[in-house]
Amino acid sequence: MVSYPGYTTQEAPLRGRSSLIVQLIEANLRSLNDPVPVAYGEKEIRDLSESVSLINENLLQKQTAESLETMLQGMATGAHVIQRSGFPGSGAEVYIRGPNSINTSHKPLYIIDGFILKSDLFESTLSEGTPFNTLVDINPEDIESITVLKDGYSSSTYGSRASNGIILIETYKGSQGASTLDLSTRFGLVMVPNNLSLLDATQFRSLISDLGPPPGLMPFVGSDAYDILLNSSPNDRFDNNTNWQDEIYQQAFSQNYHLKLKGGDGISRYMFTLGYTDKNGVIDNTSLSRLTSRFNLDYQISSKLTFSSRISYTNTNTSAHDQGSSIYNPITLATTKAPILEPYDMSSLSHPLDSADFLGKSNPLAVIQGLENSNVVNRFITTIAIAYDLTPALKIKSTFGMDYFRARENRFIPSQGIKRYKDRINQTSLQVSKELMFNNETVVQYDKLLGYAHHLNFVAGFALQTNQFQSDYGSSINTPSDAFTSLGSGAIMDSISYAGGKWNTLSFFGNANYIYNDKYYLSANLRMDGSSRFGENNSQGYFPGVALAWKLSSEPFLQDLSFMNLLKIRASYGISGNDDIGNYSSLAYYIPANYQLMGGYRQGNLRNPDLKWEKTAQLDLGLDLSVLKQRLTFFADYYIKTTSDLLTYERIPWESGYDYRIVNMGKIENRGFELGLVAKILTGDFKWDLGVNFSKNKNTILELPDGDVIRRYGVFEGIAREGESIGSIYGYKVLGIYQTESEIQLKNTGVDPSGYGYEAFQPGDLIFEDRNEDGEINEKDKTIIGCTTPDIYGGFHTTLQYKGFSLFAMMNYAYGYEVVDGLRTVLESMSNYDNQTSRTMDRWMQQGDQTDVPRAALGDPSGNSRMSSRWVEDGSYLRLKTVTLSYTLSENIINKTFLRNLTIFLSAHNLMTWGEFGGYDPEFSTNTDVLNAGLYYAGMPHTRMYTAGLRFGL
Amino acid sequence: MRNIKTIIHLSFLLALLVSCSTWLDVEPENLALKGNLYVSEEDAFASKSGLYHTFGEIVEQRFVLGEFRGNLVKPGPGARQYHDIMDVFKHNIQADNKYASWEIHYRLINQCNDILEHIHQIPDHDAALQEGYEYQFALEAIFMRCYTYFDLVKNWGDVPYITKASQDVSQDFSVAPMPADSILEQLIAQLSLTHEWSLKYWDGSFQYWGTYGEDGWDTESWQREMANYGAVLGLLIEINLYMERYEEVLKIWDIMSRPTNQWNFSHNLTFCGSGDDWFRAIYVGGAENAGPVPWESGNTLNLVYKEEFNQWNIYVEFTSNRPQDGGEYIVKPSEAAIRNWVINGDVTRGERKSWWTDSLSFGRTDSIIWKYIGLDTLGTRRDPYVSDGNVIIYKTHNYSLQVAEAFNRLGRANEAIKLVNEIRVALEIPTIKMTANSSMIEVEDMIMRERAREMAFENQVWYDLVRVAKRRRDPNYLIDLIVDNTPVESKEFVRANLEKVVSTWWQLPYHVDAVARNSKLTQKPGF
Repeated sequence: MVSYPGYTTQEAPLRGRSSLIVQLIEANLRSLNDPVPVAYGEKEIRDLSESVSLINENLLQKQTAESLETMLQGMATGAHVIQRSGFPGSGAEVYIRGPNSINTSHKPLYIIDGFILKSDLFESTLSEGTPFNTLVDINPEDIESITVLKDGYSSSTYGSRASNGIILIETYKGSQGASTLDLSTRFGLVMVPNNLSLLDATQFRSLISDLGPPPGLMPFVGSDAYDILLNSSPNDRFDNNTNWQDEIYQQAFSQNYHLKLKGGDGISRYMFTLGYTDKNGVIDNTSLSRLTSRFNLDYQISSKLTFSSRISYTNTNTSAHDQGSSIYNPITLATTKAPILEPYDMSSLSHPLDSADFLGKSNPLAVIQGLENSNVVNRFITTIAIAYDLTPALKIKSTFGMDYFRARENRFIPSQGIKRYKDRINQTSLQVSKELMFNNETVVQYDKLLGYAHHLNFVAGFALQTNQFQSDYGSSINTPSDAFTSLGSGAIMDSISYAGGKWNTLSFFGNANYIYNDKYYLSANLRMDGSSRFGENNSQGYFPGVALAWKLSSEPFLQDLSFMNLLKIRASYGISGNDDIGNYSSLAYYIPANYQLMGGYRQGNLRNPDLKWEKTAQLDLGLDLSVLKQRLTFFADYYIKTTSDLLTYERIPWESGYDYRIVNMGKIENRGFELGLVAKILTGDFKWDLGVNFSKNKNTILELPDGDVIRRYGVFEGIAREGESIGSIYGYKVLGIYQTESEIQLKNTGVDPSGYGYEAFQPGDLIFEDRNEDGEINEKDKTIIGCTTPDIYGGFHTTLQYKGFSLFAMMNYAYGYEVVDGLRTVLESMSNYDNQTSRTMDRWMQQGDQTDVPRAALGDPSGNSRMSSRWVEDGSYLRLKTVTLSYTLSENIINKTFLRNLTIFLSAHNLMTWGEFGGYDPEFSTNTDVLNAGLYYAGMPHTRMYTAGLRFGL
Repeated sequence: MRNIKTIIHLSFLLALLVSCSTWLDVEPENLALKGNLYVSEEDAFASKSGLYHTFGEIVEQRFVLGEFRGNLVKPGPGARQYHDIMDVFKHNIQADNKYASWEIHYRLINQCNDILEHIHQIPDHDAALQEGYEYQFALEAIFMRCYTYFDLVKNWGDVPYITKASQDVSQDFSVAPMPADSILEQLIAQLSLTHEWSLKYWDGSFQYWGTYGEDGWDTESWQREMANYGAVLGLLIEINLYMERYEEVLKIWDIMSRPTNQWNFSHNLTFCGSGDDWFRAIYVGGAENAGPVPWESGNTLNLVYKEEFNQWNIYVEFTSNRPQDGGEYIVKPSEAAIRNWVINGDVTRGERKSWWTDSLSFGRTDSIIWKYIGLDTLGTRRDPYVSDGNVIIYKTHNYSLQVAEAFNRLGRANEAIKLVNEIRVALEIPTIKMTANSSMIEVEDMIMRERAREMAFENQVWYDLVRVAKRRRDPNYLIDLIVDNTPVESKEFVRANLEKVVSTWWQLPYHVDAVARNSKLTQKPGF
């Protein structure tokens, strides 16, 4: 072991060499000797045969995220991270090396301090489009490092749950030495997004005039209502020019506090943290308020017996509003609401919120002020471990863990200003969800240096896990007034329901690592996973893996190249699985089917004793190169990942009494390469570091025996089709706009030219490609019109440092994919009396108009708004995500104070975004369905945030 | 130290000893595994309730196919957005129309099969289930299966005939269609079996056959919301009439109307009363608080629909023109339907009963179907989403008018006219002045007009028209009536569509997905 003040302590085994040169690396910079957590242990970067991305403390501290997975964005090769929305703490979708599955989860396996976190069973909340983010319960400031394990060998170590990749999270631990107290605080100003350009009152009335009056009776719209839309006299209550976007958005503030106390001696080491985060969203009544605490203890009971515990408790309160296609989505309401209306009823003396309008649209202000969606989450994550050294080389460790999650959600839809649904005056609902997961993992580890050249390490163990979830829901309607919001105050019980389930796993695993002479690395793994989810004929699965590495730089023929610090080639192969196949999918069971006031049941599922996990086999070839005293380190990986036995809802004859049977069939491939570069461009007083990462992934559905899978959301259609990529967009291809009747006659020779249910085309309508040339535009002419999976993604980060000053900047990007703005399909449909974007002023109005915006037509008679390439946009973007300027007081000054250190910083987030997307923001996730990825549907846009803060130690 | 070591070693061994098989056998929550059901009397009741739950899922399709293809309704303003529905109105039903799907039919059949395979094993586990009830439940499952197959045959003709419940994914579920006539023979045999059971277990004297008096339930009202022996006989009448076996129809009617046969009707077979009594007897709201009157005069089989705690009637969404109630006003009465009541001075079943125009009360400017909206017990407009929502399956008038058809076809016009007039006397409206001198066709037309007045919007009209057209071997009987009810601009299109499928008597195509999924199913020519 070699240590020197200001440099990272390094341990360098001789491994057959009589002498060696150890290059010390300055602290806070990434070095080849940094320990990297891997499955059931840790390795140094230089000794890895796996494909790994590490985000260490130094990089984590420069970010100010609310949720840990968002810190991977642009920082880890192979990880494509999409932040869901601008709602505080909304989290992100994470894809490691592309999507593997059509019908199961794409989420990686999250492991914190060796403990597998519970799955996200309770994703859906009572507010549409704002799924639970269970990772927000972990305070990012408690985290020391995040490691992404991507290759097949690593995945095989966690078997049937790891085919989406593994994210290892290590929290801070106590350290030997004097106790230290670190405090940090920051305050942020959250800025409203740029408004969409919508029609003002005059332009709106022009469009209404163009649309014309409703034909005959039309819901909500009588002839008087149309007159109101079209005309107004000065000073009447419909003579306004309201910018509804300005009405709903506000500037907001955030604050964050974190305390970390750590210390210890030769016997015990402890670390305690306390954190509080409070962030408001740019729409009223959206917020995240989180209290976190963590106590990590390592206690040496005797020279051989060690006790350790990791205990955390989090209380998270969030408030949200509906996103997506909900009729209560404030963004949809604010962008479609007629600008001639106003938020308050000025004709009344008290100026109350105006009621839902005569078009049946709620008052957006009433929604954001009165509609409540709040939830409280209490969560304990606790592990207790006992380790015993049987011999110096042989250790046994048993860990007991618990993850307890309880969420209580309230939703209240008031009557004031809100459109009623059926006979509901107002509605209140409550959902209480609980998930409890216990596990025990016992491992025996053998680690031995045999002579100078052989380093052996064996791990063998077993793991038991049980998971149970329960969710109760109730709703009632018609409370006495909007002041009564509790479930019990409703006059009529509306609905109650329950969801619950349980599943158990039992695993045995063995892992062996062998290093010869610091040159050759061999790792092998075999895991057996049994799960109650699997069918009885496949109740156990075997997941082998092997990894090899050859450190060429340790070979004599390269040792003379003094500039080369590391040259290593790697290869690994492994099999893993995805067990997210439903808890009881293999069983024949009955489901409740009540009639009147009597309980009833009927068949719910066909038995499949052969049902099993989705299987992923992955080959990884890699190269690690570090030169010039590690000032330039380069990582490259090429992988082929094939997932077979896809969980499939195979369509079967309806005569069976079922719509589908659940079976394993189909195959998907992800193939790509990743490049990572860490450069220490300048050292000395003026330091300049640069990190670059680049990932390219090509997803192909190799086999889909049951045919296309299409899933819709609004007009959007996502399709999975053999030979294509997951994330394909399905629809019609637009060729232009019909200018004349004769042009229409020429192309439309079929019986039903404009397609199923639509009226004949007219000049000003879109020309859809008639792919089968039958003279009709119908389902048979649909094709793939885009792909929402990016070709490449990654990021850059750089740090400039001069004495105490440090400037950090991070950019992330995704390139080569298409998206659909679902809000635009509403705001440019010109098919009803909703407000529209200013782009609709370019609409086709007469022959000769050169535009790509079709005519305005009430009711969209010829289907111009159907899913087509009209709605497909380039989703590529480059974002300056974080810029942080900090100043750390020099030791000379700090030594004269009572402080141990002090850093002040200013930070900006989402400062600039470059891209072609025409909506609010190119980064979004409407729901977690992989076939709906790439669809924006009026989610809260990402916000720009300016933060000021300080960190100091005592 | 040694103790600690021992504890660790022991716990390690203990954990290893946990049996894989028991640890991985997890009983589902809120679901019941096959094998855990059909073991108690309660399971028998619950299996039956599940049957009616699924039956409830079929009623939308039943309404659309039974009414929208007929001449008593026309599209409301809300229909335009539903392409599948518009195509039904236009008789342009293609293989991808959702109403050409039989998915729910077979779900229900599979459920019936499951009950029939397991119901007789229950007494082995629980002696509390009396043999009479056991067979009653079996009868209900048979009735439901036969009713569903008859619906399939009426709409699609030859269909796969399956009497075994599906078990696991390894089965080959592709089954070739069976000729419609063979299926109907099977249905008659099955339903006749239930007649034998009835004689065996109740000897014709079991007054409340089909009730669960032991539980203290309201026997009369509950039994009307379950299939009963009256419904079995009614279905036999319908199938035999469809097969033009008129003598058989009369035989069943004889059993049904025998004064001593009170098996299953609330009391005797009686006709609905006049005025509001008729309406309340068949209407769909407010039953629970309405007192005994409706239940004593209707002899109907209704299904109750509920949305959790709020009972509601799915048809209101189609018929109401109040959007704030969720009504999309998809369908409204045709001029022909209204004329049929108005010309005949039929105030009992006409305005404010089956249909209504009232521009003052609810801002309506159009006539609407009122049968499923109706009044509450106080005589005011009921709220469609907080009241009972019954759907009428069978009622006495349906049976008797079908029997009248049989009488007439057997040359017994007097008896046919008498049956029609029995209804009209009960309704306190003028009797039909027609004698046996009238031609068979004239009497039949009269009966069909009476059916149109009595059964309007109860999903019978299309099948009535098809039955009569087939019987007369005259497709134009149906085509002319339908085309008359079509707007001028669509007459040619609708006529062409109807003429295209005359050879199968307007059978629906097999749904495109049904063909794709079943390798032994071939699409009908022309689709």
